[in-house]
Amino acid sequence: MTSIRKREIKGGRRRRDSAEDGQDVARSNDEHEAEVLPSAVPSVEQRTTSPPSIPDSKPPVLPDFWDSFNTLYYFGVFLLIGVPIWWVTTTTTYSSLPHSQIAALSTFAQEKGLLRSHQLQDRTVTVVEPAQKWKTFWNLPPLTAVDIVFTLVNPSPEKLKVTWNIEESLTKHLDPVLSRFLPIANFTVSSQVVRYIDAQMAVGSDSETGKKTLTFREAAKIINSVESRLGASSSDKHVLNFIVYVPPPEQQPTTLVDADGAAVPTNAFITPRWGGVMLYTLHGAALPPSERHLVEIDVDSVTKVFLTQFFMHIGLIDTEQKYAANVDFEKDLDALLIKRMQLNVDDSISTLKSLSNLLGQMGNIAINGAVGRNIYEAVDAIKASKKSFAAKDFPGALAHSRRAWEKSEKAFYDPSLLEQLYFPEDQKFAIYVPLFLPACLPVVTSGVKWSMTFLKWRKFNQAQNTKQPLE
Amino acid sequence: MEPSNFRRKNVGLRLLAILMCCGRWTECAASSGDSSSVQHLLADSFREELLITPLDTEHLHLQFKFTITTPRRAHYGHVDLFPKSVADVMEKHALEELHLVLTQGLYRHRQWGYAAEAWAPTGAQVYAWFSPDDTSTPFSSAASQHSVDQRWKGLTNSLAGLFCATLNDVTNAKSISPVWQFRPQGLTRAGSVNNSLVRYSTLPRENVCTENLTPWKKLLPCGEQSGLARLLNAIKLLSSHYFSLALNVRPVCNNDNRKSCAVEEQLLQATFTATAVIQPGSVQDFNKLHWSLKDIFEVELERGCPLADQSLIYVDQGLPGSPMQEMALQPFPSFTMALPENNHRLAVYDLANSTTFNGPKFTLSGKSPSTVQPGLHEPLLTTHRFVAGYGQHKGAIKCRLENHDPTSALRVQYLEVLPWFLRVYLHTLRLSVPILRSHFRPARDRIAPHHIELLFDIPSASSIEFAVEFDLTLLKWTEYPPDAHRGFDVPPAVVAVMLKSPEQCSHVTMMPGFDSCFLRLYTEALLVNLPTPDFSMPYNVICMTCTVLALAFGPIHAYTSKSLVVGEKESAQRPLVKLKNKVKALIAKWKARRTRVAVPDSTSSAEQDSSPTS
Repeated sequence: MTSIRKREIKGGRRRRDSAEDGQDVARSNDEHEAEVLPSAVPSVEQRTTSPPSIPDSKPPVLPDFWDSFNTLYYFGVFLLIGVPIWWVTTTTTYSSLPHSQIAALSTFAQEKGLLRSHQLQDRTVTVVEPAQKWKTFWNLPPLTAVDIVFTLVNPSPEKLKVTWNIEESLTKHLDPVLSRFLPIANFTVSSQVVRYIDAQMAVGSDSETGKKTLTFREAAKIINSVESRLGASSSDKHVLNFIVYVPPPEQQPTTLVDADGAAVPTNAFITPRWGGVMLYTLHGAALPPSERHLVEIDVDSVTKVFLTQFFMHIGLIDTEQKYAANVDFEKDLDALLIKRMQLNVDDSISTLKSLSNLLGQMGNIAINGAVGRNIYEAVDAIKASKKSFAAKDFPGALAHSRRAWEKSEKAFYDPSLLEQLYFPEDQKFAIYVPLFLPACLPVVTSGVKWSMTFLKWRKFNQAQNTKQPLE
Repeated sequence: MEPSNFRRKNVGLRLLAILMCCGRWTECAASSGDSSSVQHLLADSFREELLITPLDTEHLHLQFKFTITTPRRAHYGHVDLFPKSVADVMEKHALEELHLVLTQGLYRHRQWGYAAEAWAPTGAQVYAWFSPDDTSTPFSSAASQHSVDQRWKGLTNSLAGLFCATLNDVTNAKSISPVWQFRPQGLTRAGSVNNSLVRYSTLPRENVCTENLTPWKKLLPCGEQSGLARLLNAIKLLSSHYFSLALNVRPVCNNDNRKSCAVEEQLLQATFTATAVIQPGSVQDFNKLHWSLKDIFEVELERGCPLADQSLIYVDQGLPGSPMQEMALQPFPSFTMALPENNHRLAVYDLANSTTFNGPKFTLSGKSPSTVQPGLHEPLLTTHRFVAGYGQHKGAIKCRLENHDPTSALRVQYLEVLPWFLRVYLHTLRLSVPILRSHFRPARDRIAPHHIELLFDIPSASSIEFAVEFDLTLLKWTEYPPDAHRGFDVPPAVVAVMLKSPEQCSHVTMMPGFDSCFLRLYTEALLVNLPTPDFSMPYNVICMTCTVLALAFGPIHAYTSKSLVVGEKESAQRPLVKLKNKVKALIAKWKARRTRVAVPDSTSSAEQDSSPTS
């Protein structure tokens, strides 16, 4: 049909709507067209490609009204409804993110120098900057809730009956301390007893004194064997495990020795971020192996050792300061609050930056409203925290930093981010191509053709108009 | 004790009696032991038991039971023997009771008779009673403010992590709140027995394996290092005919008074039960009547768990007159006891007592008398449920219940949970006996399953059969599992029988909270084949649909936006001719350019003009 149309009649034409007319055309092509056609049809120039700018010879003619209307209507529907629907259904929901704001955030680590010391009204607070990177590894990562679990490990319950009243001691020694750390995180304290652990430690003996000794390397086996029995935590809190290990009678008394062979006075060691282990030594004469002995743990000494370890974990004391007794709470606590606040803010900023980078690189990740809100709130909280910090309102800054950290973690680990991660770009076209290609080709070509004809017609008309006055 | 000749008595519920009485006996022992010293209440206690029951079919029914109790508190921060993970779960989701069973295989009541607390459905079953949101009680935790649905979701996820089972598949679409079944088994308080506080769900597809057994064993105080838990050899247990792992946590009272219990006397009791039906001896070994613990588990017992208050092994010797009374046991039991209700005899081995040991290791072996005929003791009630119908449009589930009691009718509670993708027609459910009470809650797509509960009597020595019909539906194609052609699991129905006479009652467990006693059976889990599409089709369908649409659209578009107009004949040149002309024109152009380059003359322009038209 298009081929017929292309070559037709510029001067006058006849519209054929009915099927009958269609038959006429078919016939007319077969037979002698001139006879069938009404005489009203004028002769037409052979050369269809003649430029329309040549005036009077062949004036271009617009398709009739309904044809034009239909063509344009198709084109309009295609452009105004089809394309947007396709676009909307194949793009991932993407709430706008404060990329520029996130990029503008700078961590405290980047701004150091400013932060070494702060003058309060009555004293100077110095922030302990860890000289080496491994030292920061000692401290707990940013967190808002900690589960502190004390575990008594009795590997040989058939030989030793061990009891402890840890609850009382913890209430007395640990709870008042924890209440001071409340701005940093919420703490829950619990205890349990685990029995029948086969740590398979090789206990050595000191060449001089003949005492039983245990190296760190051997003692670390306690953690390996105990861990599977500690029980799965039913929460996603950070768990700090403090373990009292009572060696069986034949290994008593055992002293923990360091790499140089020197005895460790507390008989305990610390595992960064995980907790600590203490070897409990039974004093007195060697125990006869045949009977079952009753052992009451001296819980206060245990609690004190673990309190020191806890201070190390939280970052209140460094490894150089050995004992909790040296802690000057008034001074050190302020420094700690600032340190934790900076940790929170730095971690939150790096989380947001990685998320922002990731989203920049992978456009297919859907960002729903909740994630977007969390990101905005985290950015706001970071700013608020920095503002409070600048105003020397350290508790306020810490509170904001906790919120920032929480929100940024929530945004980063939101399960909805995974949903469309593996939806490849090409599929969004591939799925619709079978529909769009056959449908849109005629629509687009007819639309383009119509507009070209229209342009020709207008140009011709303009040429006529400019010509007429001259004549 | 020497085997003595008792009067042979044919009582159907021989096995059931033993097991249930066992539970009661130990409870009595616990209360008598602890009541003397109230200040010791704050200590946790632990008891381990093993009950060995030779079955008529030459199988052995073995049930391990580990019971740990701790004083009931609002916050279980500091625990000793009680597993901390379980206490955490109870506290975090504010639970009153928790019952979880993971089962491999089907318990064949008809052949094996009943066994104590072993009535578990194939797969996983979990139900829990939640605390009401009521801060006035001393044991309420902060979590009780969350909605029950929220806590149920949290609970199933916690349990999934704790026992490495896919319990996180338990959704609201698979859970119901039973109306009459699954009442609390422990202490209750005012306002805590309310249907809105209970959730029940089953996963018939759950496969029980070592990965479930290992974390289960880790929760025991002695682990698998010592005591009866040493016998729990995963390879042996999981290759048995039936294996079931259970954890039941409920509040109990230190005294026997269930109606009122002082706050300081309330205990939280966790019962870990492992049940197995094992065929002793190998395939070649024809002497299956002879069994020994060493042969069955390939492990020898060194001693009982030193942490346990009691460490006992019972061997069921049946009712007076049963041939099992003549079972030869090696070594000689510590003592034998007869249950007061029906003289049911048990041989008891006390592992805490060193005189029980006949050497450094404890080996127990027995030889059942060969006079036992299988199927001699038919159980009181048997169930059978199956899928009826064919094709991919309609189906039905039929259930047959048989009452073998020659004298009295049985009052039966029937609970059926059907998945939402079966369109159940309730009007097709017809019973030949009158339904005394019924509850029906229709399913909502992807939200809730069908929930049918019925109460009816089965006349004595008769069977009834009923069916419910349904339509099969197509699911959304993403809802089909990877092995859709395997079929879709329909959870087993639950049949609970309320026994009336004390004679019957003595055979069955006394359920706390009930005045009468009852036994609960599970029918088979079923597979229903839903119509499944060909999963390779979707892309083809997209292509096909698009092609059809395109074919339809093209002509319509052309017809509506273009007119047929007659052109002139000359213009209707054939494409070949047109092509020829074009090529000619090009050649002419090229020639003209050459001549122009050679002779820069004005004559070339004329040639250029005329050549395209020629």
